[in-house]
Amino acid sequence: MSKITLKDIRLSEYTLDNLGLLRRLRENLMKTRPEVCIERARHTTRYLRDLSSDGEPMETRYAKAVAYFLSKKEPLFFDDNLLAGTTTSKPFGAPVYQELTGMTIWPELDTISTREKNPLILSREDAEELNFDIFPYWMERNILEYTRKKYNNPGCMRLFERIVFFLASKAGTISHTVPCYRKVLERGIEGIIEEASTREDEVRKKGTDTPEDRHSLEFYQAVQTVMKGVLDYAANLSRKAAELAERESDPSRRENLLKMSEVCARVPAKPARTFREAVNSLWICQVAVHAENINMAISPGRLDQVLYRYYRNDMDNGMLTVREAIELIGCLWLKLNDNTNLVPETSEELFGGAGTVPAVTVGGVGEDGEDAVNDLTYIMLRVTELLKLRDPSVNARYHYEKNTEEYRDRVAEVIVNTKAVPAFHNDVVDIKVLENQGTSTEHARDYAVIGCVELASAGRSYDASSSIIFNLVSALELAMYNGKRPATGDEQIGPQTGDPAGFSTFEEFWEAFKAQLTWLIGEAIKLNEYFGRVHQEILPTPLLSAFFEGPLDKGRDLIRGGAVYNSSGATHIGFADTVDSLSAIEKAVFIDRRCTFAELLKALRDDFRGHEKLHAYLVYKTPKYGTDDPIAVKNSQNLIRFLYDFYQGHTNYRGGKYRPGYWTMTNHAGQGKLSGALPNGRKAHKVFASGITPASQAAGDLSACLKAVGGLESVCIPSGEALNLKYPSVKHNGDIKTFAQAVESYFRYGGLHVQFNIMSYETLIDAKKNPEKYPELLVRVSGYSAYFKDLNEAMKDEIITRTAYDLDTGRAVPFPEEYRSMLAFE
Amino acid sequence: MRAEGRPLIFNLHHFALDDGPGIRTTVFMKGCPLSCAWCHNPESVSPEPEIAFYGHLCIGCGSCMDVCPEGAVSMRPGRDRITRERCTACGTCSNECPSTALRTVGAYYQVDTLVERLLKERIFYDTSGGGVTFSGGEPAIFMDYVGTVMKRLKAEGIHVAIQTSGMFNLQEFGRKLLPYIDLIFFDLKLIDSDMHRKFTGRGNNLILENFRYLADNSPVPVVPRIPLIPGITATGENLSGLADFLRYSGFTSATLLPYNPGAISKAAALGKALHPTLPNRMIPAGEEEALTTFFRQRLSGHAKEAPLSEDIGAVEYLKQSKKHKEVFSDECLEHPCCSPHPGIGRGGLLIVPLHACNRSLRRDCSRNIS
Amino acid sequence: MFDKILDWLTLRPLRMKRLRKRFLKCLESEAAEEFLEMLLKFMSLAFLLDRDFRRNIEGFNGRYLFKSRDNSITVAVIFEDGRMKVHEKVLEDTNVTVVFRNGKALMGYLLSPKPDILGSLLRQDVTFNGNLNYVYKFAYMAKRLQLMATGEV
Repeated sequence: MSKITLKDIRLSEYTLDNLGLLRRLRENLMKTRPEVCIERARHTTRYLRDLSSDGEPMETRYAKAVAYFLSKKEPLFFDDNLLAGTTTSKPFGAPVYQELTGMTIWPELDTISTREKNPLILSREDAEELNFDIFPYWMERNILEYTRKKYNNPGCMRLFERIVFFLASKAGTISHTVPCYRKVLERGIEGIIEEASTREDEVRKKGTDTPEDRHSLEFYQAVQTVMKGVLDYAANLSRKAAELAERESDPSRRENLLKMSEVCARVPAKPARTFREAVNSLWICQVAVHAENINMAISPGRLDQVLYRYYRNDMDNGMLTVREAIELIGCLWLKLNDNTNLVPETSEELFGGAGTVPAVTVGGVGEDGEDAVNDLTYIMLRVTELLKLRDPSVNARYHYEKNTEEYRDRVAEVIVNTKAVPAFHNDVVDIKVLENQGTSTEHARDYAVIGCVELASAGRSYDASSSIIFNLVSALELAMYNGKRPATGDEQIGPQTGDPAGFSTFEEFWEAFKAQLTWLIGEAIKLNEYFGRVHQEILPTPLLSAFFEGPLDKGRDLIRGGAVYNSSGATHIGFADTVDSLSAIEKAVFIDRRCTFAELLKALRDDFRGHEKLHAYLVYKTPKYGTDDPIAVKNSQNLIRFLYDFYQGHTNYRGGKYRPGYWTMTNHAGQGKLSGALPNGRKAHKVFASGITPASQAAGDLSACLKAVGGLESVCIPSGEALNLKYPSVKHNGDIKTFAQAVESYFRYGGLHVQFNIMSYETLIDAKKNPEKYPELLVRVSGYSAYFKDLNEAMKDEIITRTAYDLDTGRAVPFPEEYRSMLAFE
Repeated sequence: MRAEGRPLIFNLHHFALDDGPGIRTTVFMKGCPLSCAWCHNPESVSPEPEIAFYGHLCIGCGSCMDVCPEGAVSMRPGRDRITRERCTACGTCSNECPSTALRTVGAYYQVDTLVERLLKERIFYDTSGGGVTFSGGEPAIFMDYVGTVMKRLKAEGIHVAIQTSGMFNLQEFGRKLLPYIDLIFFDLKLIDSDMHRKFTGRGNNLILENFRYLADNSPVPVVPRIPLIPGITATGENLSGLADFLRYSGFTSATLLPYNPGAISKAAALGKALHPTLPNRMIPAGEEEALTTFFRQRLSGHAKEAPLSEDIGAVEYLKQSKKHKEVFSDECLEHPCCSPHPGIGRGGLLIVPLHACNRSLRRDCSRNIS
Repeated sequence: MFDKILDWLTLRPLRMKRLRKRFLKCLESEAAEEFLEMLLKFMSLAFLLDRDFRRNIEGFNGRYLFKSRDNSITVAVIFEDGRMKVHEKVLEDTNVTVVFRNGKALMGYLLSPKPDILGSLLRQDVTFNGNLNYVYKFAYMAKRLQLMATGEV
C-alpha cells in the first residue's frame, strides 16, 4: 500500500514566499560570516589539564571531559529557528578540535579573520586564549605528535607529511559515519543510561576481571557519564528558553521559546512523542556528537525513515500540517548549516571549499525490501529544492524495481531545479555491494550515505570511510621513474621496480605499477593502523558509541570494534588519469610503437614542449576510459579489481576490512597541481579528473560514458564512487524524463552513484570571473556540495572543464575555443 | 579501402532522441540514391569511404603528406587538404594523423559485430521505450544487410524504426525489411517531380507511389517528415502541395524538420559544397511558427490559399526545444493517441490537427499501451 | 650595573628601532638571504623589550634547528627559562628540525600573507623533521613579530 498521502508530491503550493520563516532564516544564514568557536577547546582542555589526572583510564576521563564541556556549553538562541541547540557558540561557527588538526591554525591566529580565502572571524581575546592557554597544553599531546613519538617517527608518517602520496585522514578526523538516532528517539537518553547501567552491573556480577571486562566497565561508565552531559545541555537549553521567553515581548517568538523549553524538558531525555520533539531530539544528539567528534561528515542518515512514525502519528491525529512539517524539516536543514570546518590557509589552497557534509539519505527500499518512499521523502525533497543549501548533502536512493517512476522523475526534477542536488544512489547495486561485504540483507537495505558517497548500514556499521586518501598517480609516477617522483626530486621513495625503458611488454610495466601500489598502499595502511591504535588509546568515543547498535551489546567502544560491522575506507585520487595513462603507455609504446618508453618519459619531463605530435597522438588517439575502447575498459576494470583484492586482504585495528572507493572531494585538484605531465596527455600541474569520472573532454559520448562507469565491477567499489556529470541545461519536462531515464540506464548497467551540475561552460566561466554575480551558486564537487565562490582556483577550473553533455544529442558540447588553455591537456 | 559493394556505416549515434521514441541508436548507412542539394549528411551520399579533413584540429605536423601513397595530400593554404581526384580513401593519412583532423568516413561492420554493438545499448532502449533507427543515406539500398540486422534485433524484442527517402523497390522492401520494422519515418521533400529531380537528382513518382502504398497497407505507423529547406522545400506552394497530398492520403499529421546549416561545414570537410543559395543560419522562430500554422491548417483542410510568399523559405528557422513543447502542448495533444511520447519521438515539429487522429498513429498508440 | 640599565633604557630601543628597519628591508628584498638572521635577532630583542611578546616563551621549552639545504646555514634556537638563545651550531635532541631551500623560501613559509603552498611543496622549499606543533608556534611568533614591525598590532 502506498504510504503517500500528499495530494501533490511536488508540494508546489509551498514556496519561500509563503514560508516566511524559512526565507528569513535562509537570508540570515547567507549573510552570516563564519567565526572560530573556541568553546569546546577551552572546556575540554580545562577539564583534561586542570580537573583530571593522567592516571585515570582514558575512556572515563575523556567521557568526563566531553560531559564537562556539554554541561558548560552555553545554551544559545540566535534566531527564530524552531529547533533548540547550536553546534557552536557562534551563529555560524568553526569549532577547534585541538587534539586533531586544530593546531595547524596556530600560525594564523592573528590573520585568519582577514585572510583572502574563506576568512574566519577570531577575536583577539580568543586568539590569545588559544595561543597562551590552550595550544601549549597540546603540543606533545595531539594525535599527530602522539603517534609520531609512539611509533618513533615512522617512514609512513614521513610519506604522509610529503602530502603528494597519500593523506591519512585519521590525523584530522575519524568521524565519517552514520549514527543511529532512532534509538534515542525511541528510548530517550535516559533509556540508554539505564541500559549502560544494567550492563555495567551484569559485568560486575560476572566477577571476572579480564582486561576486556575492565574495558567494558569503563566503557559503560563512560557512556553514562557522557549521556548525562547531553542531558545537562538539553536542560540548560530548556531553562534558557524559558528565561528568554519571559523577557520576550514579541508573542510569536515568545511562544516559540516556550515551546522549545517544553520540548527540551522532554527530549532527548525521554522518548519523543511528537514530530517536533523527534526532530529537536535528533538535532540535539547531532550537536552532542560534535562535542566529542570533529564536524566532518557526521551523517544523520535516513531521516525520512527515522522520523516517519512521528510524522504519521501527528498527521493522523491532526496535530501536524504539511506546512508545519516542511517548516520543521527546513529548520533542521538550516541548523545543519550552522557550523563549518576550521581549515588553515595552506589547506584552503590545496583542498578548500568543503562543507561539513552531514549527509541525509532519503527514499529507496525499507528493511523489508519494499518501496519506502513516503510523504517525508517528498517533503525533504521539496525543502532541498527550496533552500538550495550546501548542507545537508542530500542523497536520494532509487530502487528501479521497487520505487516508482514518479519518485525517480521527481528526484530528477529537484536536481534540475537546484542545478546540483540531490545525488542519486542505486539501491539495487548498493545493497548487493554491502551484502558482499558481509552485511545482512535487512541491514544492507537500511543503508545510508556517509559524507560524500560512502555506504553504511545506518547506525550499525562503523566505517571511518575517509581513512586513506590515496593518490593513484603517485604510484604510477613511481613506476615510471623507477621509484622516484618529479614532485619529490631525486629522492628514492618507492622500491626500484626497474627503468621502464627496458620493459619489452606492457605487462612488465603493469607489474611494476602494481609493485609500487602494493608498497605505497601498504605504507598508507600501516599509518592508518598506527593512528587507529592511538585513537583507541587517547581518543575514545563513548558518546558516539551510545548512538550505535553494537557497542552496548559488546561492551566495547566503537573505536575498539564495538559496532555490528566494521571497516576502514580508502578513497582514490586520479583514477581516470591513471587508467588513461596506462592505456596510453600500452597503445603508444607497446602496440602502435609510436614512441619508446624513453621518448615518452622525455616528453613528459619536457611537459610535451617540442613533442607536439606525440602529445596530440596521446590526447586524441590513445584509449580513453569512458569510451567503448576495449583497452581502456580492460585497464579500468583491472585496476578496480586489483585494488579491491589488495585492500580486502587487510584487516584493520577494529577487525574490519579495508574498502576501496573512488570519490575525491577537492583532492584531485590539489594533487593534480602537484603532479608532472602524464602519458594520457595531461600536462604538468593541471587538475586530475574527479572521483570515478572519466577525464574531462576525453569521453565524448554520454551513453559510452555511462556504460563504461556502470560496467566497472560494482562489488569491488564498497566504499562508494562519485560520477560527476554535467549538462548545460535541461529545458523542459520531456528532458527531465530523458534525464531520469539516463540515470536509470546507468544504474541498470551497474553504476552506484551519479551527481550533476546543470550548468554550461559559459555560466561557470562567468562565475569564476565575476564571483559577486553568483554569491549562492551551488555546485557538486565530488560527493558534496559547495558554493562555487568558496572553491580554490584549481577546483573551479576542474568543474568548468568537466565534459558537458548535450542531453538532446548525448554528445559532449564543444569546449569554448577561447578558454581551451584551462583544459588539462592544453 | 574501397567499399566493394559492402554496406558502410558512417555513424552509430547512441543516445539519439530525435529519431523515434525513447533513447535510441541511429545507424547511419552510407550511400543514397538521391543527392539532395541541402543534404544534412553530405557524408551519406556516396557509398564509398571518404576522407574528411577538419582544419581546426590540424596541428600542422605534415605527417599526412609524408605518408600518402598517392601524393594526394597538399599542405598549401587555401586548398582542400586532399586532392580528391587522386585520393583512394586508403586511410593511411587518417591513421597517421595524430590529432584526428583527418578521418576516414565509413566503416564496415559485420552483422554480428553490429548486432552485438547495438545490444550493448539495450538497457537504454528498455528503460526509455527506445530502440534502433536505421537512417542514412538510404538504408533501403542495403536490403539484405539491413534486413538481416533488423531481423536479429526484432528477435531480441528491440523496437526498430527506419528513416527512408522512399526511393526503393517496394516489393523487396515489403519482403526484406517491413516484417521487422515497427515505425517508418518517410521523407517527403518536393511535391513537384521536376523540382524533385532538379534538387535531388531523381523524380518523385516512385517515392509518392511507395508512400501511398505504405500509407494504405503498412501494418506499422508511417510518419511523413518534411525538411524545411529555405527557398527549396519551405515554399508556400510546395508545402500546400505536400499538405494536400498528405490529406488526400488520409494523413492528419506530419513532422516538419527545421533547417540546420551544420551540413555546410560537414560538406566542406569532404571537399564538397551544398547548393549555393542555402543560408548559413537557422530560421527565425516567427517564420517557423507561421509555416507551422499554415501547414497545420492546410493539412486539416482549413487553409485553402497559401498566405505565404514564394520566398518565405529564404527566411531562416530557429530550432528551439521550447517550440517543440508548444507544438506538443497543442489542445489536440490532450487526446491520448496524440501525446508526444507514443511512437513519434521528438524529432522536428509534430503537427497534429484537432482530434483527427491519423490511423497509423492510433495503431502506434495501441502498441505502446498494450 | 648602571651601564646595563643605560643600555636597556637607550641602546636597546635604538637597536630595536634599527633592527626593525633592517628586518622590514629584508622582508622587501629580493633574495632575503639574511632573513633567518634578521628574524632571530629581531625576535630575541623583541622578547627582551616587549612584555606581551615575551609571554609567548614564558614556561616554554623548545629546541629548534634551522638548516639551509646546502648546509651553508645551521642555526640552533633554544627557548628555556623564558629566554631565547641562538647558536650557530648543530643541535641534538631537537623538537623539530627545519630544512629550507633559502632565506626567501623560509620567509615565504613563515610570513607570506598567502603562502604559495603548491609552489613551496613542488620546490620542496621547507621540510620538517619532528614535532610540527613547534613549527606552528614559531610561525605564530614570527608572524606576530612581523605585524609588530609593520605596526599592525
